[in-house]
Amino acid sequence: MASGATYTPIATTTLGSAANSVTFSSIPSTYQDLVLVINYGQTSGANGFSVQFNGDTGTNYSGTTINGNGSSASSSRYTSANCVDIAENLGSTTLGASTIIAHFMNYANTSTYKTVLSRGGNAATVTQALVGLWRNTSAINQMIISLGGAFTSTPTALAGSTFTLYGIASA
Amino acid sequence: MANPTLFQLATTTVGAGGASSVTFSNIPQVYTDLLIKVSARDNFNSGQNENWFSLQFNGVTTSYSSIELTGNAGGTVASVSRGVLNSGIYTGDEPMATSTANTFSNKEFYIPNYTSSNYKSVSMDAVSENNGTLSGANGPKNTLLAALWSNTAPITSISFLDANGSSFVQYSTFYLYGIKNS
Repeated sequence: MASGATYTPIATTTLGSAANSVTFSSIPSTYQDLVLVINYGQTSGANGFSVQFNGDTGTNYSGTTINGNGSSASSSRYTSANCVDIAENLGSTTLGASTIIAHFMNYANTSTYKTVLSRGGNAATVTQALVGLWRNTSAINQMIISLGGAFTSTPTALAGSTFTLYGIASA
Repeated sequence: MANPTLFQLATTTVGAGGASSVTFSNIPQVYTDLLIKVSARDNFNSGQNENWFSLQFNGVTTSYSSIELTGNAGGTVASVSRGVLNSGIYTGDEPMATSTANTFSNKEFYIPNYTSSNYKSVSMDAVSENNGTLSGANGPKNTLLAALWSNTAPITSISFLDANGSSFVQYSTFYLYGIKNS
C-alpha cells in the first residue's frame, strides 16, 4: 500500500503523571499548517484545553464555540482573553474518552493574525466545534497547552493522556 | 526532521452491485491513530432525503455511545445522545435513492490511540448535502459527532453497516489511513 506525503510528527508527549499543561517549543516554520491531537482524561471535573502562543499572556485572543450536550445546542463567545480555547468543558475521568483535533492555519505567516479551527468531543459530555484567533503576526514557535486554561497546577490531565503536534505540508 | 507518517492502509470503492457493508480487517497495530474518509450514498427508498450507516469495531455489537450536534435544512441546530444503533455508532446521514442524483455524503473519522487498552474515542465531522427540501431528521444536514466504544480491546477491524436493509451504491468510497506520532 502506498505511503502518504504529509502529517509529519513535530513533537509528542504522553503524560507520565498528572499535569495541567504541556509545552511544545522550537516549532519549525517549515510547514503550511499544524495539527494538534489530544486524547485525554482528567483527575476530576470536565475541562477543555486552551493555548497560549509564543509566551503571549496578553489579552490578544478571541473565539466562538458551538456545542451540543446531547439534549440541546448552544453557542458561546469570548473576546480579549489571555488564551485561545481549543475545547471547552468536555473532559471526564475516563482516560482516552476525550479527543481534541485542532488545526492551526498558516501558522508561520508573518503578515496575518493566526486562526485555529478545532473540534472536540466526549460521548458523555459534549461535542463541539471552535474557532479562535490570536491577534499577532508572529510565526507560532511555541504552544503552551493548558487544561481549563488555568496555566497553573490544576486541574490536571491523567497520566497516559497524549498530545501530538503534526506539521502539514502544502504540497 | 521526522518523516511523514500518514499511511494509506486500505481503500474500498463500491462496485456496480452495491454493498450492504464495507469492512477493513487485519488493521496493522503499528500506528498511533486512525483516520477514515468516507464518501457514500445508498439505495434506501422511502419518503425522505437521507439514510445512514453505522460504524462498528471488531465485529462487536455493544458498548457504543455518542453525542451529536446537527444543523439541518429547517434551520434548526440540535443535539442528541445515542447508544447502540444498527449494531454500532450512528454516523450522521447520507443521500439515498430519492435524493438528488450524484450527491454523496462526506465523513471524516479520527480515532486516536486505537491500539491502547483505554476505551476508544471517535471524533467525526460529516456533511450530507443534497439540495433536498425536507427539514428536520429527514433532510440534509451537517453533523459533528463524539463517540465512545467502551471496550479496551485494540481495534483490529472496522465495519461500515448500511442501515434499513439498504446498500451503499456504486462509487461510494472508504479510505483508511494510519498516523504515527514518531
